[in-house]
Amino acid sequence: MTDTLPRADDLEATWNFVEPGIHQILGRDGTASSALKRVDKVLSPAMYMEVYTAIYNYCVNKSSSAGQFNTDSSRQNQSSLLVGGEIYQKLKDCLQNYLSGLLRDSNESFLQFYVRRWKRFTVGAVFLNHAFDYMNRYWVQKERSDGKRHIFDINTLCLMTWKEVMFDKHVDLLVKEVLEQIELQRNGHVILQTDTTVAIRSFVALGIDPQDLKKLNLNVYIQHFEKPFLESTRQYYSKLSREYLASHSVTEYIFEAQEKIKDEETKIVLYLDEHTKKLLSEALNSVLITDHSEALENEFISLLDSRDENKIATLNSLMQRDILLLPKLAQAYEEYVKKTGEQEISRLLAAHRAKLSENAEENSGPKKSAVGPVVPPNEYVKKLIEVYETFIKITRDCFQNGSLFTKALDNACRAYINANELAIPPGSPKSATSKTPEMLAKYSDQLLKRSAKATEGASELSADDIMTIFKFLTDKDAFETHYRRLFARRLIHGTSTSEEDEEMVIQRLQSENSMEYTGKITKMLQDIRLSKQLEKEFESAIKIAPDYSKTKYPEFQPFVLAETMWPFSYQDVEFNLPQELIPTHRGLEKLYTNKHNGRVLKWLWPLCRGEVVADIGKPGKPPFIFTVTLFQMAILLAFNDRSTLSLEEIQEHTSLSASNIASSIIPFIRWKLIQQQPPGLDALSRMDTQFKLSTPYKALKTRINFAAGVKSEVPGSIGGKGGEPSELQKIEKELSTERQIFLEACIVRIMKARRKLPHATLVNECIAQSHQRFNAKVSLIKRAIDNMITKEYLQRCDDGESYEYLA
Amino acid sequence: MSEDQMELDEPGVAQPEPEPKKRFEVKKWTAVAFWSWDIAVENCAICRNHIMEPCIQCQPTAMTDTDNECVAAWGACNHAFHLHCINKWLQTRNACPLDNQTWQFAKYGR
Repeated sequence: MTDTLPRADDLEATWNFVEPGIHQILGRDGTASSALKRVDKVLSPAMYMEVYTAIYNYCVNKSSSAGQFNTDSSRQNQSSLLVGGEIYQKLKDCLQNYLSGLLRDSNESFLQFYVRRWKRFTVGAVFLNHAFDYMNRYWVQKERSDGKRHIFDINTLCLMTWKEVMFDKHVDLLVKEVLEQIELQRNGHVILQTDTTVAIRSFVALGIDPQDLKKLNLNVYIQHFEKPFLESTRQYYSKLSREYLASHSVTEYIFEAQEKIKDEETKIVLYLDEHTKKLLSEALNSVLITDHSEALENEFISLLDSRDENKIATLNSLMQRDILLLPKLAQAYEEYVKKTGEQEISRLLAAHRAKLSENAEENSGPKKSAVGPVVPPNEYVKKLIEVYETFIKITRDCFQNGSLFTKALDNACRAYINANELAIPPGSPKSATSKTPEMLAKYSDQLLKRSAKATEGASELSADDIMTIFKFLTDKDAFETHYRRLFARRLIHGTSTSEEDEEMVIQRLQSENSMEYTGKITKMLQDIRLSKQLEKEFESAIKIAPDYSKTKYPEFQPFVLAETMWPFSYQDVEFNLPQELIPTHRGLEKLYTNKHNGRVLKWLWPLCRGEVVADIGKPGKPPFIFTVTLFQMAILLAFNDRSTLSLEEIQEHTSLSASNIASSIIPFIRWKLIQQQPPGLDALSRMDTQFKLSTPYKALKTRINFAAGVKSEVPGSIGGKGGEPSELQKIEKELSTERQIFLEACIVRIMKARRKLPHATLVNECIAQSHQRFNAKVSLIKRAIDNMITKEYLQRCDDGESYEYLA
Repeated sequence: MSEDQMELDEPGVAQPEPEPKKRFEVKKWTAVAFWSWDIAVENCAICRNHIMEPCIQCQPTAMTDTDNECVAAWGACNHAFHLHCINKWLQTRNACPLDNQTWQFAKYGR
């Protein structure tokens, strides 16, 4: 290099001076990589400084005629007199020449050549930018601020020139080779990933906005690379998926697709700009998933059948990628769960039917063939729970509790729990109410009732199960009615496992529904507590009575109840209270009316019970203890004086009707405590029939429950359940009147607030308001509206579809 | 009855020998009763609700409020109303709404 710097005002000299340096910075014409290295070494700091100084000197030289460089003479002044235009042009030409002269080695692909030169060139461009730093800072900036947007800083100039010479002319070839590389990788080959990466990065780097150099834009990248890349991706995977499905099962495809998507999104995505990430995913989704959605949906059902959580989860994670597919999938899920629930119940029914007919054959007595198969409530509820739990697990583990699927599960459960072969037997009328609330109430009874048999099965029962099913009941009021009936029995017969258990279940029902829902139940419990208090008061009161003796005042437990809360109805029954009980009875009435001013008591004799010590065994044996109804007690006490009584005599003693005597005495006859002469059901109601006490009475147990054998009505034939349907009908009727009243109240409430409302809106509001208690049928609502019109709460408007509230 | 697993001896020959001690003695008994106000009328003439049920003001909260008691009240004229109802009426006029006699409480329900 020359030691002396060129004259600052001599353009040619300066250019000639710096040109070799520039070439060295760029890597001369270096065609081969070996030459490149040598040249790099030659660029010494001293030389770099000289180039820099020469350009600096040239640019600060102001002695040359300024007008030559700045055409805009009017704005010309001392400070704006900057030099650079000519040397800028020379540099630009030089770069163009340099780049056009680059040749690729015979043994390298264009991609390799491009990447090799690009790497070197971008490094050179940075150095060159520094060498022309002074010009960048003053002349370039001035020109650009004067609005000359075709002038760039030197680094950008290098890139722009590269784009023009290297890129624009060869872009098709380049992109083709890049895509080939990517496809090779997709096919599992090892490729030079850095080349691909560098080439794709260069597309981004070349996206220069002439207006604003600081802002990088992706035009070049999107236009020349992203579009063809996405297109080739689509083609590649649409072909691949078609071929794969032709030779593999859908299940295998699910895993394959997941694998492929994972590959793309972890490996291929590394090459790409952030911008393409989402587009790539979308492209993959559409080709791998949406295009095959039908096959995938069909497979879904058989995957559910297999209960294979891994497969279901994988399928779901695929489907999750296209949210438009999810509603359909959720719907299929809902259908599936519903159908499964229904099938399980039908299967349970069939199993019990089979068992029943087997038994019938063994007993050779086709007695029960007319009665529907009886599935125990615990088995029924357990089966409902089992289905629910299967799918709640799948919803959680496979669908991550996605809202669509949770909702689908809820809907399906509501459907199969309320309507299945057992709840609404086929062929029942449309208005039939579901049996599930009743079964659930009976299940609760099994759980909460103390009984000798319960010990084996009871451990499996749980209050959680009640709550699980309760949530899904549509007719919650029906459950309340049935529950209350059984609850009442438990309370007055003292058969609850414990008060805490009862309260716990009530508490949970209350928090699940409302205070109002459990209102009656709570009041019942309250009555029981008050009654216990009364019992204690009575006990302490009689003990201080002057005529107190144990025989005169047997242990007495009174229940005084509020009529409207309890599911019992008062009937005036002809009955003489036995002498033995009169003192306690009178004593209590006196105590009660003293305590509660203005109240009277109505006794429900059929519900009363007691225990009798029966000293009728062989001499020396301990006496029996019989649990009996009050009527039975009265009959037994009549036998204290004599061993044989006719029906007429019993009636004289007790004033009971013949049918009440018959139903009370049947258990005695069955357990051979009393002999009937002549025997037979018909004779039971004949006045002259004789009943004889068997003494000494022999039985294995000393405690015998005769009360349990009493049927509410005298059956037409032994073993038939004559009493039960009428009880059910009563409940049904009670429910429908309660619903009617509830709906009428709803209508008045709504109309009072809204004054005028179209029919459809009113019906919808009613349904919404009754939702917590029961599923209001439109026909029922219509009837309630008609009622309210007759009662002149409402009137029809002239428009023919609205109602108006009459104050 | 299939659930009856008791084994019984053949019913023996009748031996009617009345013993001094009673054969059957009541050990204990349980009785169930409904209580009601000792009134002939069914409805409270003021609020038209059944007298055994809460008055119209207590009705909305009757199922949730367990402490509040809505009782009946008798006047000297032997007419009965909900205590809440008659009290409210007495603020307007100190007379029985049914017979217009000066109101005097005979008793309250408890």
